[in-house]
Amino acid sequence: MKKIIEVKNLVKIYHDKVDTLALNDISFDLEEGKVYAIYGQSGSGKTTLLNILGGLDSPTSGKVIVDGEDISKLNYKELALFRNKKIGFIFQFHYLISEFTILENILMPFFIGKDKADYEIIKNKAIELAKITDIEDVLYKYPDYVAGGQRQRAAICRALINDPKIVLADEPTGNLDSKNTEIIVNLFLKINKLKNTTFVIVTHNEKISNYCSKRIELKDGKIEKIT
Amino acid sequence: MIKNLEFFIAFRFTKYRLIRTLIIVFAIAVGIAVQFFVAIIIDSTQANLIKRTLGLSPHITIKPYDNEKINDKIKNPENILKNIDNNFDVNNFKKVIYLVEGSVKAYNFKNKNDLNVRFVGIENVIGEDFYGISENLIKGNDLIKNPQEVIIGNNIYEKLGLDIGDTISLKKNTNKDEYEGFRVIGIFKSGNQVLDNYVFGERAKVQDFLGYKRDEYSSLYFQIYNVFDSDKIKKILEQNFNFPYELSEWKESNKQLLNGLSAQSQSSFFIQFFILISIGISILSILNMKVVEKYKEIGVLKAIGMNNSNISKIFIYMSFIIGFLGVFIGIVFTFLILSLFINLTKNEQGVPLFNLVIKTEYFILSMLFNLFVVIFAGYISSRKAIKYEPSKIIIGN
Repeated sequence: MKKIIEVKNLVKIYHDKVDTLALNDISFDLEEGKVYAIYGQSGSGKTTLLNILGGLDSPTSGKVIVDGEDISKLNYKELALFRNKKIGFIFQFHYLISEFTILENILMPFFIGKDKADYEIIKNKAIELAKITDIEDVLYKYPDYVAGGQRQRAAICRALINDPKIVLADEPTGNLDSKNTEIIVNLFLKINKLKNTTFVIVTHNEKISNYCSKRIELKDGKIEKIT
Repeated sequence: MIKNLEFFIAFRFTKYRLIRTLIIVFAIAVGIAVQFFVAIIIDSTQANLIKRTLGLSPHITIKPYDNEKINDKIKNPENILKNIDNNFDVNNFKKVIYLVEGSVKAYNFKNKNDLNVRFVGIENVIGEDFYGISENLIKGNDLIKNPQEVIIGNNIYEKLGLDIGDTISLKKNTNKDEYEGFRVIGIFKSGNQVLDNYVFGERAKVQDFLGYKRDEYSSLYFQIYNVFDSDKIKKILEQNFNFPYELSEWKESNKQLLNGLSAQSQSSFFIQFFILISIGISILSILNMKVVEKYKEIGVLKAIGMNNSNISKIFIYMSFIIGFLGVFIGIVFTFLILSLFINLTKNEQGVPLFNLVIKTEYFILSMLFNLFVVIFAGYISSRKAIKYEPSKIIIGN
C-alpha cells in the first residue's frame, strides 16, 4: 500500500527559558487510506507531532514527507497551500467562525484555495457532507445557534470540503459526551471507507484508539510501540 | 460565490460587535468633521480677509518715487507694459489699470458741507471694474456717459448729503477759488474707508482737472490671480525694468496682515495634523481590539490555508471599511455643521457674514491622506495578526 506520510528521525526541541525535548528521534510510516491513532498521555508529544505532520510547526531536525513531498523544505506560502489542499484539520474545539453560517464555514477552505471549481458543485458537495454528518438542517444557521456536537460535525465537513488526502484530528471528541463521541468516530470510519481518506487521530482516550486500524503510542517524545 | 474573500471576511468581522464599531466610526466622523470645518472656516476667513483687504487694491504698483520732482507723473505707461511683457506675459495679470488721481476738496453748496476726497480716473487695460463699483453700487448706475458725471463713495454721500442727480463741486488745485460741478449718477459702498471717499470721474476729465496730459498718470495698478505670488512676480518684473519709477507689492506694506495669515494657516495645519493623529490612533486601537478578539479565528484561517498576505488584507480592508465610513459620515457632518454655522452667523438682513470657500483639491487630497492614515493603521494591526501561530492556538487549547 502507498505510503502517505514518512517520518524520519524527527526531533523537536522547544527553546524557551529551558529547552524542552518534545519529540526525540521518531521514525515511522503511515499508509494511505487507514485510520491511525496517536495515543499517549498529556505531554507525550502527540500534538507536537500532529502539528509538524500538518505543516503548522517545523521540526528541529529530521524529515517529514507527505504524499511524496518533503514539507520541511516548503516556504511559508507553500506550506499554507499545502495545508489547504492536502490536509484537513479537526481540533478539540470546533473553531468555527461566528460571523459565518455553518455552510460558509464549511466552504471556507474552498474559498481560501481560490479553486476554479464550479461553486454550485462545491456547494452541493458541502450539502452532501452535511447530509452524511446529519447537520443538513443547520447549514444556514450561525455557529452560536447550533449544538456542540453539530458544530464539531460542521468542523469535520470543513476539514473534508477540499477532498484532502489526510485528515489530522487533535482530540476531536475531547469536548463531547460519549454519545457524540461515538457518532464522530463512526463518521471518521464512514468517510474513510467512502473516500479512502487517511485519518490521524490524536487521543488519550483508549476506547477511541481501539477503533483505529493502527495505534502509535508515544511516551516522553518517543514511540513506545506501534500496534 | 465570494469574489474577494478577504474583503468578505473583513466586512463580517467589522459587523461583529457593531455598536462598538459604530461608536468608533462616529468618533472618526466627528474628528473628520472638525478637521474639515476648521479648514473651511480658516480658509474662508482668510479668503474673506484677503478679498476685503486686497480685492479692491492693487497687488503690485508702479508709481513715481515720493521725493521725485521731475518724474512725478507716469508718462507713456504703454512703454512700461511693453517692457514688462518681455519678462512676464501681461495677459497673466488679472486686472491692470492706469490711474490718475488727486486729493481735492468737495462741496455741496446746497447745505454748505465740504469734505476732502480723492478724484479718480481709470483707464482699464486688462480686466474690468478694478474697484468693484458695479458690485458695490447702492444707488444709480455705474456708466459715466459724459465728462460732467461722477460716481461717489458712500462716505461722501453721507457726509455731504448728496444724492443721485445732485451736483458735487470740486475745487481746482489753483490759488483761485475755482470750482467745477459734476452730476452724481451713482453711489457705491465698498466698506473700505479709503475707497468710500473716492469720486470716480471720466478719465480724460480727471486728467484735465488735475493738470495731467493725456499720456500722463499717477500710477499703474496690477492685480494678480494668486495674491501670495506678488513678491515673486515683482522680482520677475524688476528684471529689465529701467524706468525711474518705484515698483512695489502689497506684502511690503502689509507685514502684519501677512504674519496674521501665516499664523492662522500654521495653527490650522497643526489642528488638522493632531486630529488626523487621533483618527489614526482610534482606528489602530479598535483594530488591535479586533485582532485580539479574533486571534482564534486568525489561527484557524491560517491552519486551513490562509497566508500572511491574506490575513494582512483582512485587517487593511477592515480599517478601510471603518475609515471610509468615518470619512463619508464626517463629510456629511461637515456640511451639517457648516449650514448650522452659516445660519447662526447671518446678519439682520439674513445675509451670511462671510462666504464659504471650499477648496475641492484640498478636500480630495485630505480625504486621500485620511484614508492613507486609516489604511496604515490597518497595516500596523495586521502585523500583529500575522504573528499569531496556529500551532500555538491548537496547543493552547
